[in-house]
Amino acid sequence: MTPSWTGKLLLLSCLLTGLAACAEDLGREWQALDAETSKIVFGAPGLETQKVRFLRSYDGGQSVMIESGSWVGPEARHAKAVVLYLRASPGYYLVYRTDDPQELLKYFEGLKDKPITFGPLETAVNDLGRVQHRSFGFEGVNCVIFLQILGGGGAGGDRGSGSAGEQQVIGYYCADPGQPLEKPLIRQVVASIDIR
Amino acid sequence: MRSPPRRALPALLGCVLLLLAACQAGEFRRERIYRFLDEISFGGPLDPEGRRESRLARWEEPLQVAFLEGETPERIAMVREQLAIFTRLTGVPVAYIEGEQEANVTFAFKADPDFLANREYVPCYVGLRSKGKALRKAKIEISVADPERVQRCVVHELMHSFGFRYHSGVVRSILSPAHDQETFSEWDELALRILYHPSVEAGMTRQQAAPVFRRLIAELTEAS
Repeated sequence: MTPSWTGKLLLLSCLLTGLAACAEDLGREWQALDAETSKIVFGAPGLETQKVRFLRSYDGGQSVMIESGSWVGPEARHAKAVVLYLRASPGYYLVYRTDDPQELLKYFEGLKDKPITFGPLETAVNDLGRVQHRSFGFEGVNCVIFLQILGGGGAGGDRGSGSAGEQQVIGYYCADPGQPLEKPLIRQVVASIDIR
Repeated sequence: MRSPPRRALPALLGCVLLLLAACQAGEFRRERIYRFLDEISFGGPLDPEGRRESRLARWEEPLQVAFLEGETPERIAMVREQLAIFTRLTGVPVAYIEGEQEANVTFAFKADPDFLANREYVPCYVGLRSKGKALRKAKIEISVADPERVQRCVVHELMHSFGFRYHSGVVRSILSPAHDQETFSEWDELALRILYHPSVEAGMTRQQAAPVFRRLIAELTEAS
């Protein structure tokens, strides 16, 4: 059954009314979470003394949830650690994929303008699966950045699938300024990444 | 009276449903704007220290602005341009004077990359003083080490200086630490218009301000 012209005009005017109401751009809403509510679990050494803040947001269509956790010490010039967790809703997949966490450093506000030198790309395995990580340093601070792609044919960071997965964990961790970040500590850091 | 043709009934039904959805969406948006306004005025989860009971503060006298350090013609022009927007939105007059003595708002542009404020290193901050219900003094310090950040810092600290002492990530705002907002959003502008609306009084508590904020949000978003 086709609607009459009157019906079509009514529908059109209603659609325009609805669209006008939706046109205001409030932007993404970020909500603060407590540590128990956040999906991110990160128990790397030294974080227990830091001030931690967890935030959660969804994209406009609720297809992707984003959480961030940041650990900042008193009188620190940058966060000691930041972890981002992205999770696609059922039926959706994440679309951005890189196999080198170095390319993700630009997304961390406190680090993007630093003069950074990188170490080699390495692979490790934790309880969630395979983790790509790379050490880096700036201004006497030694850090490691990591990336973990989960699910969607990319479980455990399956590089062969080319999928960006259903979940990604991206983050970095830094030793205290002037302190080394040796391989055993990097292994501890990578092992301590978890998702509830 | 003739009844509507049968074929128009599905269209009418669709229309009613669409309008209902739009109304609900409008209510949802207004509630988000209210939470934003409440959080930047009285504190929220992103400012745990702001959760304490506090009262609305705003300027009740003209601003006397002075530049104390690091001013250049470009920086002065930028501050004047931004303050002209604040004046347009709030009605608070601004005059520019020489020297710190008579000034109630001061700007210092510094070469330091950051400043230690409340045990955190920040690229800009404002020290605010109030007396009774009204703001009395705002001392703004801005790092010029990153030139691209200066204007963002100026607008952010001016928002604090005009009475929004806290932060919020509820909507896109220059006061949100979670959004990459370079200057005023329309919600920042709305917040300024509401704080300086004749229906709002300096010294209001969160509970007193809530119904006034909600009414003004409905009125002003509808009007715009």
